Amino acid sequence: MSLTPPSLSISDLTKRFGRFVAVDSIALELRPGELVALLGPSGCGKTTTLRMVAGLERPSAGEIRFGDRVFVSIPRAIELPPEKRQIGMVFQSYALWPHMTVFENVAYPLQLRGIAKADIRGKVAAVLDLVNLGGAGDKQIPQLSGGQQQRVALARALVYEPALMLFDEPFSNLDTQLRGQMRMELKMLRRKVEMTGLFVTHDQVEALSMADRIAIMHAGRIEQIGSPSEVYRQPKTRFVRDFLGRVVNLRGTADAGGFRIAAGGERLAVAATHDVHPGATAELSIRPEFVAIVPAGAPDRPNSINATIEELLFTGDRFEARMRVGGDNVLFDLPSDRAWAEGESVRLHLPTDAVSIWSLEPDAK
Amino acid sequence: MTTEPLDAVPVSAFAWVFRRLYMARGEIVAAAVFAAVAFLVLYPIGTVVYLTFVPNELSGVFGTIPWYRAFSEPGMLQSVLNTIYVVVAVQVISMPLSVGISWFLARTDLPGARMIEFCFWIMFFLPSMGVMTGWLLLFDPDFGLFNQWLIDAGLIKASIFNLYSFWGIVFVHLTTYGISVKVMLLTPAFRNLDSSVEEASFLCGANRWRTLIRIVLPLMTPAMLVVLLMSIIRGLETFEIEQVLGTPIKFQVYSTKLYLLMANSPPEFRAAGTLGTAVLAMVLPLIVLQRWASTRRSFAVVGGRGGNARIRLGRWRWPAFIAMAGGVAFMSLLPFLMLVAGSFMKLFGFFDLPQVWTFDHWATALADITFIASLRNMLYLGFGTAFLAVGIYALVAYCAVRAKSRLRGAIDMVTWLPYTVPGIVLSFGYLNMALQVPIFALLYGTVGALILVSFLASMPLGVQVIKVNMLQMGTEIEEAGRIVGGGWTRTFRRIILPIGSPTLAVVGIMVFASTIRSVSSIMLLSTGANRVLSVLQLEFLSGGSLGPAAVVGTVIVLISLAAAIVVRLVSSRFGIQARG
Ligand SMILES: Nc1ncnc2c1ncn2[C@@H]1O[C@H](COP(=O)(O)OP(=O)(O)OP(=O)(O)O)[C@@H](O)[C@H]1O
Ligand SMILES: [Mg+2]
Repeated sequence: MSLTPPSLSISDLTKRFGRFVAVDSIALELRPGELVALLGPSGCGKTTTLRMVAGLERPSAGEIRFGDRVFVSIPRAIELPPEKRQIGMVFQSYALWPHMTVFENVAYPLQLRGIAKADIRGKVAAVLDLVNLGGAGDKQIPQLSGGQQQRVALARALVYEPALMLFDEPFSNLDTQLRGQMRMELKMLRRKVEMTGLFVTHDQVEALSMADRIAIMHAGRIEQIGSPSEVYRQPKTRFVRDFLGRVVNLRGTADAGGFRIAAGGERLAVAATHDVHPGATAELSIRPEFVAIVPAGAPDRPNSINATIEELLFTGDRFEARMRVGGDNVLFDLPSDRAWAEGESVRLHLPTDAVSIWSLEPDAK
Repeated sequence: MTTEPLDAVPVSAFAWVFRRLYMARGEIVAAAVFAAVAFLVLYPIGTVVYLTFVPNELSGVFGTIPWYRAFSEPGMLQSVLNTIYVVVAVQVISMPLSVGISWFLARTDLPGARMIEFCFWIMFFLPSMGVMTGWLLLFDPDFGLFNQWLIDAGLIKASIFNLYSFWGIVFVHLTTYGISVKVMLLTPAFRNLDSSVEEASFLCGANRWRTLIRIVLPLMTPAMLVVLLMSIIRGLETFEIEQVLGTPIKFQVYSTKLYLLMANSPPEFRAAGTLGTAVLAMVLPLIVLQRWASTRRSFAVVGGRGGNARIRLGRWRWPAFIAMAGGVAFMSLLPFLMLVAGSFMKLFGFFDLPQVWTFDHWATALADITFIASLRNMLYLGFGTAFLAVGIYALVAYCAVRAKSRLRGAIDMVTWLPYTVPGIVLSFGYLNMALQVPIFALLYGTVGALILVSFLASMPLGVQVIKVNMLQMGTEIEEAGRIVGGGWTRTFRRIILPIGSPTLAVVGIMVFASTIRSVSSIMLLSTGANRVLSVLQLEFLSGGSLGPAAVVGTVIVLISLAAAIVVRLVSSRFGIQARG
């Protein structure tokens, strides 16, 4: 046995279906005990990636290693079949076996491992308790609700303590309320069970709230990998910026270490720029909730700019405001604890580390 | 657990190639399955087509001469024309009838619609020879009950409907598969039609009739086309009806002609080959049309999600029921009762003898060595084919569902091919093959040869049913079995097979039922040694021994009925679509 604990390492992984490239030479490392989300829009290759890790799909090129084992290596013509990879997987459809009871579904992996009957009973009972299904062992699969089936699928994957867990949109078949509850439960489960895991989702809230790190995929490539707050606050590509949540864009001109708003002419200091030459037309992006809005005349903070409220919509807990900043119209939420007025001037404070600058030059990506 | 040390990069090219092959083992198995099926299907067809190119031994001329010579032989062209006449007559009558019946069953509040639909299903399962024997008791020109009653009642002078005639042949076609297969397939299609399309038409002010003509039928056209083509192809399969009813009046269709050519001594291989090829050429456009129509059916089966409101028949409800139920009883129950009655009659059809009823035919049959041997052969054939079919169809269907795209299409093609080859042409091909390939020569004259041909003949439908159910099962069920640590064989045994077993049972029984009653696909390979009951029945019918024919027919019909009921029970219990 080697001393380094197992961790998943994907390199140069490619999958082509005919001439269509579904996964385009991606690389990804999972540290032990880490839960990583593959996040991206429909059809970007998330499921395909997960299936290649599981051994259900053969890569067209590349390598996947887990600790000191090679799962698959196309250049070296090595491929471990799924049953030898010792992984657990929760399928989107749950894939429970309808001809077996709940108990039999969960016990089957243990039977495959030649575990004694008495031990099987104990282990199955324990894992069913863990997913809050104690006592449901004799039920038939079709008798269960969606959430219960989901738990059985989870129990079946956990029962043999796999070193790596894979989830393919595990909550997408549940209604919103149940989804929230299951997210919470899975998060709590991670405190009880040590697991390294990779999960696929196209729901950014799910990824941001559950994962230790997020890999954002787009058209078969990984655009960015990082912690939830990192990818949320400092997107590296336009796609990541726009995919992860609302964003406010202001046009202007870049200069060395700063940005000048078009029309308004005010200058802001910024931290992150993306291949923007000084003097180039560019846009400044920030997530609206990072912007602090105060009435004009209040004590000013550095890196603030002027704006005018053009239109106000009262929605109960807050106002939705359309504001004019320089030459742009942008939308912000305003707290409802103060009476705002249309036509009122306000100051927007843009924290330096939450701002990024993107080139608007025609040759920019 | 297999651990692969990271740095142990294989240097030897041989090892690399070996690993590469090992990785491709799934594809290799699928390719082998494809090759085996392709050989078993294409080789015999090839031998038939090849015969038309064989140069004449005398003139040594290659090419069109065999065609010319073959078709200048008396009766050849006529037999092809007759085939077309029968097919056209059957379809022209059955199509409007079936559409009407299906519409009533699916779209109106006709009482007992499900029951009547079930009767059509039973009718489809009834062996055509048994039905024909039953009809003979009614419509024989000399002693047919129907004709006699009318004569006795003084309504007519001479018999008006003679089963030994063109229209008699058409009549038997209609009452066996002609109407039943269409009703079986069209009724669900009508049922799936969203009733809101009709309702919308009513709201626009159209009446029922107009709605049917302008809205419902156009929507159903693709489905109807598929069913029509299927039924034409099925009609081209028949042999026994024309053999029994057509031979006495010298009316031949291509299949009886082909049989006759091969019964000559010496057998006329080249003429038979030409005839077979001509029929294949006739079927081919139908097949292409059917494939095209079935891929376009997207709007035929609209939704099923919408309403399924039935049209109220009002005071026509019970008259319609009586007409429908009466028709069904006439077409299925009557010939069946006649058949059973005939098996107990001293002289088939003669009800005015001093002693009408007897067990003699049964007693003779059950004591007869030929009958017993044929029964045994039939059971060997039926069970042998069913077991072979279930095992291999499952494998083929699995490959057809799971293989990589290109291979998948190819497997689909070859499994589907026998559907396009009438049974008698296929068995003719096997006869040729037996003369060329030593292994098949060994099979000739054994039940094994019949099993092989029957296995191929049932393959398109059988594989299709299993495939549909595998697709429904989805891949994840199986993949989950692999992920949790089971190998492929274990997963197949513990997960796929148990879930699929009701389907496999249904397919097995369907294969059994259709194998034991069929004659056309095994007739040419039948010898004294491997004679089965259906062949024996045909021999009795052709020889005019109607009593014994009725006994054999009753046995086959009863077994078929039992099979039909088991299929129905199993598939409704497990929700299988066994209709193909
Ligand atoms: N077996 C296949 N044959 C051909 N194309 C495929 C196959 N499987 C997937 N694809 C294609 O590869 C692309 C990626 O598919 P994948 O299932 O990985 O997407 P995804 O990111 O999981 O999307 P979703 O969020 O919709 O599940 C899609 O465009 C899909 O059409
Ligand atoms: Mg997916």
